[in-house]
Amino acid sequence: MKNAAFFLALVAASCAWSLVMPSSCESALRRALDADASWVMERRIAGSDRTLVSTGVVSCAAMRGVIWDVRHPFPETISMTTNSMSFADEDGVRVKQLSELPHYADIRREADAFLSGDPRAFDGAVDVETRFGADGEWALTFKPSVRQIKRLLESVEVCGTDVVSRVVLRTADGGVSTIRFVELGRGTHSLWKDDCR
Amino acid sequence: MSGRVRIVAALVAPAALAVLCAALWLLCPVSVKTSLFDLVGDAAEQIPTAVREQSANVVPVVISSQDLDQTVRVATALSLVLPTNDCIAVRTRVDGEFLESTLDFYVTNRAGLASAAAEGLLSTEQGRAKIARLAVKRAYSSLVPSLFTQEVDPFGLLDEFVTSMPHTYSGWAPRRGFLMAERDGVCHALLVMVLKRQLVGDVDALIDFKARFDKACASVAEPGAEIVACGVPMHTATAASRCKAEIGWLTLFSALFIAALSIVAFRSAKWLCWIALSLVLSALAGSAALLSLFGSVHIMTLVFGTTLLGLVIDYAFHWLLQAPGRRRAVTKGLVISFLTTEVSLVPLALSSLPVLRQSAAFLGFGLAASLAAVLLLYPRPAEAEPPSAVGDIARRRASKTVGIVFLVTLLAVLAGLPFARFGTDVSALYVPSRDLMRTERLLAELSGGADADCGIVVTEGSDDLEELLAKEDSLGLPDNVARLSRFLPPIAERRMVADDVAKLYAERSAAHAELLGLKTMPLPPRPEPWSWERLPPIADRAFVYRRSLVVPSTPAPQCVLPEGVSFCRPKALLESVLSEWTHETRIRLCVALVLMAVILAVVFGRLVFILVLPSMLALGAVFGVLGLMGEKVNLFHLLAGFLLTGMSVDYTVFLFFGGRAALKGAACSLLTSLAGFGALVFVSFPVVRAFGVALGVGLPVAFLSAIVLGTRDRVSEHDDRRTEHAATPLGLSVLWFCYCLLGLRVLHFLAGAVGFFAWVCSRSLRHASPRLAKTVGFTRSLADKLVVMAGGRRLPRVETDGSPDAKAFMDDVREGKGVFVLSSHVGTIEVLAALGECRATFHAWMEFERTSVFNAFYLGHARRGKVRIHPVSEFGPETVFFAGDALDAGDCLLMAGDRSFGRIRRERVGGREIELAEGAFRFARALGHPVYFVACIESGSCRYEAVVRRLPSDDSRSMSAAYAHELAALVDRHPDQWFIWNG
Repeated sequence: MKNAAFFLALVAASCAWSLVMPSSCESALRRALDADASWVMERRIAGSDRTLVSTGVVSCAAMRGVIWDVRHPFPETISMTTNSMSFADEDGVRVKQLSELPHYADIRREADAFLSGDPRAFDGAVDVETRFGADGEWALTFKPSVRQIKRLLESVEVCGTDVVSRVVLRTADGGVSTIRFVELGRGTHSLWKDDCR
Repeated sequence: MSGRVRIVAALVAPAALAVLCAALWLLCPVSVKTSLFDLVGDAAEQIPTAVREQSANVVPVVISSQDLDQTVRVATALSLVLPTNDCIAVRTRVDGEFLESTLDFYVTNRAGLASAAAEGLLSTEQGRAKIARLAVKRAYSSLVPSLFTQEVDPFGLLDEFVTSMPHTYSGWAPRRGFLMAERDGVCHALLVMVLKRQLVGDVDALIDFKARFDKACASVAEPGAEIVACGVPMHTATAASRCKAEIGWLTLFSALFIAALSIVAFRSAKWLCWIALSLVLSALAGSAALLSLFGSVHIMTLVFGTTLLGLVIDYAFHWLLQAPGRRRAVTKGLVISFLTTEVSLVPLALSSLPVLRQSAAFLGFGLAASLAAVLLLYPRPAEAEPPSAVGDIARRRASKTVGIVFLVTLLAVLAGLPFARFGTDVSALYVPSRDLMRTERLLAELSGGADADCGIVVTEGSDDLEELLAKEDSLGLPDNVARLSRFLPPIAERRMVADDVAKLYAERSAAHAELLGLKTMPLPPRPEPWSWERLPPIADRAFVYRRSLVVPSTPAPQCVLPEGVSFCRPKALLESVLSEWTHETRIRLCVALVLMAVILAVVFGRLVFILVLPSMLALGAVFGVLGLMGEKVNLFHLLAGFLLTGMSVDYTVFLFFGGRAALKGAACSLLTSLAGFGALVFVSFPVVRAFGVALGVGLPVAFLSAIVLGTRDRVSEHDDRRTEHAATPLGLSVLWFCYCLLGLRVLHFLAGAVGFFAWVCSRSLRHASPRLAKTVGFTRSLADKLVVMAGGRRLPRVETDGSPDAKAFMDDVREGKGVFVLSSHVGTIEVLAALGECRATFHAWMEFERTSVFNAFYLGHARRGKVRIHPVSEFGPETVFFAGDALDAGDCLLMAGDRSFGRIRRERVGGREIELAEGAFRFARALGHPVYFVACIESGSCRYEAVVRRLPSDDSRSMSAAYAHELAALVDRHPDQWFIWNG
């Protein structure tokens, strides 16, 4: 439940922020909204002495949804559309209706407002820091200001140049997850072959 | 008691009562109650305490706007400016400390907590393996970390338990930090203010709180956004401020009215101090009674108590306006009035409603003090000598026009009786202001509680929280009911889960730690029973009241409820209580009327019918008016009926026995009572307003009925001489109405019925006429007399006996010779005017004093009839000329020969001595016209035979002898038609 809410918020915030971003950053985020990429996630959880590594593919289809496909070490496909979220693994498929989620309507409304051109619709929900480096590098750091999300997540850092290359999630208990993306193509929607998704 | 002693007593008595009140207040101070549940008293105890207390201190505030941002903005601003102090806590947001404390509570008490899905998996080894696998997968690839650390919740059991919990409030979802709901495109945010008990019990503090709340709302108001609040404290504050205002203006109005009426009635202000003395003593005595008898007083008792002003002043007016020399009669009237009013208060005192018990005590003791003040402290009438010119109304007879208008109005009002319906809606108890009602409805609809089946499941009966949770859990409530046992599973369930979790740790913890690189993974401690003291805020905010579990639920639980669990619908319960009370009160009112009639019958004999009739008419008028208004007759109209009955009897007693002299005092009494009770019509509380409507309509009807029935001068002044005690203008009007509508035979039947009941009920009548047939025949003959004299359309059939004298009589009449008829009390001579082919006018000399009501009625209709009546008391020399002229004009003169007035002549016939009026015979002879003895004897239903005998006109002696002979013969033949009662 909270995964879906968080993810939607993240995507929506990224999309919305791109509307007021410098052009390089904005184009990279817009590009990410309709692109396929492979990813590698390295996670350090609190109390653990090792790094947990997982890999997979993500396919974004603008205004349609996201498919987060985990390939290793535990295969699972998470498909997220505007109305539902499904989890497919060796145990089968579980579908969750997003309308049942308490924060979903809120986030959806705000995301729709952003995508409709209201740049301030997310004001108060996240604080954003922007950094620019050499060779066109940029980094956006989102810090949630809503207390419920703060308990889950300290910050989300999105980095890239002309494409989004890295996302770093830091949790309140000290855990860090770093996801690196390598773009596989634009508008291919490679994971969306099945229209029933 | 001398004048000086009286004045000293008048000064000392109020002071003593004031000291008594102060002492009682210090010894046992009473609290002022304001809530609806306090209003219904013991019946409210059928509603579980937890439900009564559930929202007693909660003020829900709803912020509405079509724009979500505006809703959030206004809600945020309001949360910052709402009045807060030690007594008021504002729980505005659903995040922040509330969330932290709840999650911390679950971390501390995590043992045995798992979602329903996890519970199923935990029970099998494969399931436990799956849980472990999912936990590892989540740790590796989930985008969002767990709510809890791996050390606390390595398998994600607690995380899933928390996220699977239902919303705390039905229909309200956490959003932007507030509980919010959306309906018809409008966003609503809910803030909750919680007041301390000490504030809820302080009416002044509540009023102050509401004022500060309104001010805070005004400071953040924005166009397009609406802020509304409800809840018991707001109802109480609104009602209390309304009560205060109404008490204020009711008291002011009553006091000013009484003062003005006193000045008008006495044409002087010197009596005001005595009237004020009555008021002060009554108020103090009533207060002392409340202080000593009740631990708390409802605020509506104080509103109701203002009517005391109008009641207690009655005695003062009756006393001060009494005619000289009637002190004894007035004293008797006051005492009877006091007793009947006190009797009428008894049902209120025995009522289940505390307000009515308190009001009855206040009024009862207040009235007693007022009566004592009037009888013991007031100056005696001789000393007071109220101006004799005061109140011309007392000398004025109720005009006929007014009487007719009243009767027509009364009939019209009584026509509403078939439309009267009894109602038991809870709105008879309390109707909140429109805004509050709208807000309550909105809140109920948004929370899913507007369903008629919605009720509250209350689990209680033990101080053990675990036991209550187990009971609640066993009810099988639907998933959408956010019961506490879903947030805090009972210990038995948690122990089972904990056992399965222990297996999970035993089987999987080592591998799990290895996979994730965790150093330690301690098993959660054994579950401990929940304790009241450690509950998170979520519990006492939504579910726990007075150590009972309260859950709003629709529909009702389907299982058999275990002991200590109840499903309660407060509104339905209150309505069923009202229904039961209404039914009981209807019976009690009937019984009370019968009892009062019995008491009055014992004291006043047959006059009970007159004394009770105004009460019945007043009650009928009240129900009729309510029926015409489309308003239902509720419990409180019925309870007001007790008071109305008692006060109606007061008027009748005063007017009937006090006569004209009492009219002035009674009129003032009516006006003051109307000022006191009638003003209650404008009060906002339905209970009090019901009394206002009932008494405002009923009292004038009772008063006017009493006047119509018994305030005629001759009723009081010539009461001893009247022979028609049971006859009333209203009764005659009713009979005449029935005659016009239904005919002579129905009139005969009704008249016979009246005669029957009069004979059965009146001992004196039975003594005068041992034979029932004679009484019934007399009342039927009166009916015939009435219709003939009043010129009715359907007359009884009258024929002569066919004798030669009868033929001569008819010839003389037809030829216009002018005949003198010496009638008697055998048969009904008045019907002679209905004799066929007889067109002459009949002049009759009759006694007016003994038959004043009948004659007054006849005079009202005399223009149509052929009979002209003349009072025998006005018989004088000029009568001779009048009679001579009438006979010369061909009219007939009727005069009774057997009436014993003036000079008496005694004739002995067959051993019987008959007293005759010698003047009548001399008069008949002197006029020189033919003289006949005529008696109209009832020969069948609506048929009469005129027995006619020519009397010798040689001298009055022979004339009277022949008359006596014929009379004796007729009496022998028709003993049941000899209607002479006085000799």
